[in-house]
Amino acid sequence: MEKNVFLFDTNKCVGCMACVAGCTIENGTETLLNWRVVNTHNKIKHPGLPVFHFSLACNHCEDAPCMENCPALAYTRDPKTGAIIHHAEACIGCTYCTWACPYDAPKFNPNTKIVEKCNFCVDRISEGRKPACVEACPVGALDFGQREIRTEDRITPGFVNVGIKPSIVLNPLREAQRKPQIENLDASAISPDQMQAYLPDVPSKISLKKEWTLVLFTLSVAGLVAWQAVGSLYQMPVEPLWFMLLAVMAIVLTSFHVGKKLRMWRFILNLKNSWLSREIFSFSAFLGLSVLSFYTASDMLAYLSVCFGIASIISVDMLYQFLKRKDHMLFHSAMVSITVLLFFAWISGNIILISFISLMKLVLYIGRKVKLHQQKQNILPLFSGLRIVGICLPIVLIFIAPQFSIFTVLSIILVGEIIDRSEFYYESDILTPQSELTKFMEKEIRKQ
Amino acid sequence: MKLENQKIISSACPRNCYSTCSLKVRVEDNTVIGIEPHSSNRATPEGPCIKGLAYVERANSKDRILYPQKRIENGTYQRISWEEAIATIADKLKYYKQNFGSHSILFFAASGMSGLLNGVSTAFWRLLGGVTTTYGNLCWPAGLEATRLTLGACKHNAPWDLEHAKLILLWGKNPVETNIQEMIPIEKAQEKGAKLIVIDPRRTPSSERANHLFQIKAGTDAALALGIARVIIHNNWLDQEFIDKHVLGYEQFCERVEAYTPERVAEICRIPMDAILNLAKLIGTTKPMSLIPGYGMQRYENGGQTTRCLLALSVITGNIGLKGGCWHYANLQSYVFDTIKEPESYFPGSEDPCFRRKISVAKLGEDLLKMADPEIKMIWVERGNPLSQNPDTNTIRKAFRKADFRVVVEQFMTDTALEADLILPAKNMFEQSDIIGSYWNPYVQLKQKVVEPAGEVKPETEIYYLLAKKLGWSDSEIHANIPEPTDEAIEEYLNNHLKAFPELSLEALREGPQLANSYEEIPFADHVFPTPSGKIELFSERAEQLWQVNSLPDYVPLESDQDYSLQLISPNSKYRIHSQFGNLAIIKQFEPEACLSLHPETAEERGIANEEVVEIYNRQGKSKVKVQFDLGLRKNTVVLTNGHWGSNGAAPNLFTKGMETDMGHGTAFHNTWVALKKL
Repeated sequence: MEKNVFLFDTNKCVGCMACVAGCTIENGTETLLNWRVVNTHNKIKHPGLPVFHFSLACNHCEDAPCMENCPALAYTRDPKTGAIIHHAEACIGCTYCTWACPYDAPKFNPNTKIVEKCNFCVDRISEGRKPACVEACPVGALDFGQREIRTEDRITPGFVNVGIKPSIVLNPLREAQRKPQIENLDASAISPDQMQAYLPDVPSKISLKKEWTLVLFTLSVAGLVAWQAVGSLYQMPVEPLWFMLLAVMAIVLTSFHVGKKLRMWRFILNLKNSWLSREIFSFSAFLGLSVLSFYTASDMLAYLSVCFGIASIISVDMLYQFLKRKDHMLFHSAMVSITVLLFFAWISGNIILISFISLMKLVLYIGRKVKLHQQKQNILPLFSGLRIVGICLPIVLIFIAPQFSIFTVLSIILVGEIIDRSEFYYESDILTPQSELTKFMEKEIRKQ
Repeated sequence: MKLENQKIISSACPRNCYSTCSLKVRVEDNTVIGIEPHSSNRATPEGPCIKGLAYVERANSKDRILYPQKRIENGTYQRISWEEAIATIADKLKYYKQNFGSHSILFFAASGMSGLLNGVSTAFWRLLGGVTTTYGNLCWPAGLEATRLTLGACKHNAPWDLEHAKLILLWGKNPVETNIQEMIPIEKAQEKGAKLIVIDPRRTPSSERANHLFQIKAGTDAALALGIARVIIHNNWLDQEFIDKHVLGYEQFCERVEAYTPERVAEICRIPMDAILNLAKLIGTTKPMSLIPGYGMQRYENGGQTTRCLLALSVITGNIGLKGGCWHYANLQSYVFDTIKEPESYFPGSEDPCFRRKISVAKLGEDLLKMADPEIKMIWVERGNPLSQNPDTNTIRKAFRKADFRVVVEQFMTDTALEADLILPAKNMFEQSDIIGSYWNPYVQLKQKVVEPAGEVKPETEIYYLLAKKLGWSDSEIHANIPEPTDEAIEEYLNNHLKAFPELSLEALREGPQLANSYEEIPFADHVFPTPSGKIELFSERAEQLWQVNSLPDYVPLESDQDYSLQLISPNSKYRIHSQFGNLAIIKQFEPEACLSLHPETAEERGIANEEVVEIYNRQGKSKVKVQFDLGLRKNTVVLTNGHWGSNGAAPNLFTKGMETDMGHGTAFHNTWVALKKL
């Protein structure tokens, strides 16, 4: 079926930035918050590789992950044009869409505290005009039209292809331009290792500095769920006051991550599709039912709360599914579902479970470090050591110094878990067109 | 958007740029709100570059100078009334004229805004009795003169004709950043199988589109051209019939090239011998070929002779006056109103005797300082920013400060405006109609007034009108020279120029770009060459008579500087036209400061890391600058793009010397050597 698409010709684009300016002027966006971005391959000009560009904004994908995953239902599709429209008044500024989109289209605006993005110039295209970026292109490299896109049209070397059917057709570089022929008697060869040092760092979209509240939040969720589970299954009543204090802290922490706090209720509007909605909903239900269970002393409510707790834990791990991990491991030691088991084991005092889960964490953690080491990533030896101590020391303590309180033991465990979870954010990234191009370039360098 | 309140008006960009794009300006409530493509211009059908789009910000910028201002004690400026400004200037003009003669006043204008109304400025200064002015030009005279000496005139095929070429040679030109629409016909030609060759010391965005990049040492272009010519001649890849009929001095030229063996040229230009042979074969055996030289390489002391060497390749292969075969240096076909065309208009003594005292644009600072009897007491600057654009900034600053009184007419607080005692707000391109030509596309265009001037801005013509009145000149004298400050009077002024060209009515120009009747799509197709011999002159007696250079094209090696080991190249960036546009937020986000690009090996030899801030210096000046690694550069070649303001950090003219080119009174400021010091 024909649909509205961007048509981009890599042979014609010269990286002049007029499309970006055209978009900025039309939409009145702030500087450095451009909806359209020109991504460049080989900016440093490796002599064996071409320099080329992908000018990209929103690709108005058929399977739009921003819309799918937005917990607040702030995205809709315009039925007439196919444009994915972001509704500012519905956005809570949680930035989850900026993780979900592999084309880096949604941009968080720190001034308005919500996300914004390309709307396909929906007013213009409805009137039969072309989008402003297309009109601005002085060399006809960026165009707009109606096309049927076949699967094979979607494969362009260096371009993100994750099967979400973006509305863009890219014409790849002509064969003659793929390998520069440069004559210069004074040029010397550059080794791949040297080259690696020259490559500019693509700033990670996820950083520990930005996400430290999430480290504490996710660990709090694990702690609370484990505590309530032990409480209800082993008849070891939870301290309501401490439980609620920890719960309030968790809510405050997660609110740091939300641009529009008064709209936080919108978080649960997309239970149908968004793991973030599911997480917030199940965690809220867990908290509510837990508190109710304390005061009614109802086992049913307690069991029900644990069910929601488990759902929230699964949701936490599922909502990170977009992250690109350097270790490429399906399971890793910082997963909240494993952490909750560890907490559960320790609070319940089940030594077999403690040994089993600790061993599992340890193996997964060491495995991850080995993978990172193989990929020449910094394995952070000091923190790794501390983290391993955080798993092993409590077990040793059981045997040699059982007089230590559970509180001391949990504190030691918590240090290890904080390191592990922090490293998880530190090592995680999100696929973007620029990171994909850089990865593509690194591969090409190794081929040479 | 309420479309009914909006108007779309045809206009054109009056900057000193090849493209001279036709534009459609969207206006609402006396405000420019959009710049759109104007498809009637076949050379710029898809619209302007990022700078053209940036007019929306530029026209409405909060940083714009909107009122006359005078310098107050602590170097800041205070708003004054037009009455005070005009009275102050009139008093000064009278005082300096009476006490030192009118030639104690320097009138300096550059290429900031083109248009026929610029003639009003000259008329005013003539009426004052004549003042000191400048001769020569910063840009392109050496190449123009080389072309004029060889072909007799500076014109070339229509830009869109490039698509018919089978071989396109971008020699020192980087159209992606300086003439972006030229990439349209280049791409069309490539789609049809044409080859694109780039010869440049840098790997440029344009060379990314090329089949081959010959990355020669800067300033050695003439040697390469002569070397290629030798291979072509030895292999008889010539257009012998064309040479026999239309070329003067071919035999002498053959003797000249003999010394340029591939071995020697490889050593001079630092590219492999095989590469030279391949390049020569491509040029000698692919026809039609269009050779597109840039302007940078003729801004060396050997610039004119270098251009003659390159042009010889088009001549001996018969690639002149052909569909798809052309020498694309400059196309002055749209300059129909000029009585004296470039480059001759740059030569001293070419104008009115009133302007008998002229100083070289290339040596502005040095000559100003030396000037005596009378010394320069007052400086008037319009349409220019000599503090950043003329060579040797520090000497110019010294010379400017030596004068007693400086007036600068400007839109923004440029480095030159910051030297002024009195700043007058300058009109922008949307505030007064004018007629402009282009040196690339063949159109005559009307740059239309689309809004009333902002704030208290007055067009230069009105400033001169008010000054003339204040000076008490007679109404008849004023009327004959300076249009009254009304739109009708401006149109009358323009109509007077259009009288001789019935095909170019204001009515037609209001709709879009127009061609003059004299326009030729393929100039020289008739093989008429307005040289003394009527032939293409590879051997030119006039070259020797006028410029004391060899009558044959020649390679004159450049001197390097033993004390400074790095050659500085200062190409134009896509983000600026000389020193314009770089101050706008929409542009600045992409290039917030000046950076010095260099090869990592050049940096590492000096212990310099990527993005480190270092000192760049030579005899002329010094500055701090951030380095940026670029693997597309030759070793020991460093690049600082042209047109940065002082506020951006380093600007290239801090390091350039004021010198003239070998011909044409151009400015030879590209042979610049610098050193780096860690901080």
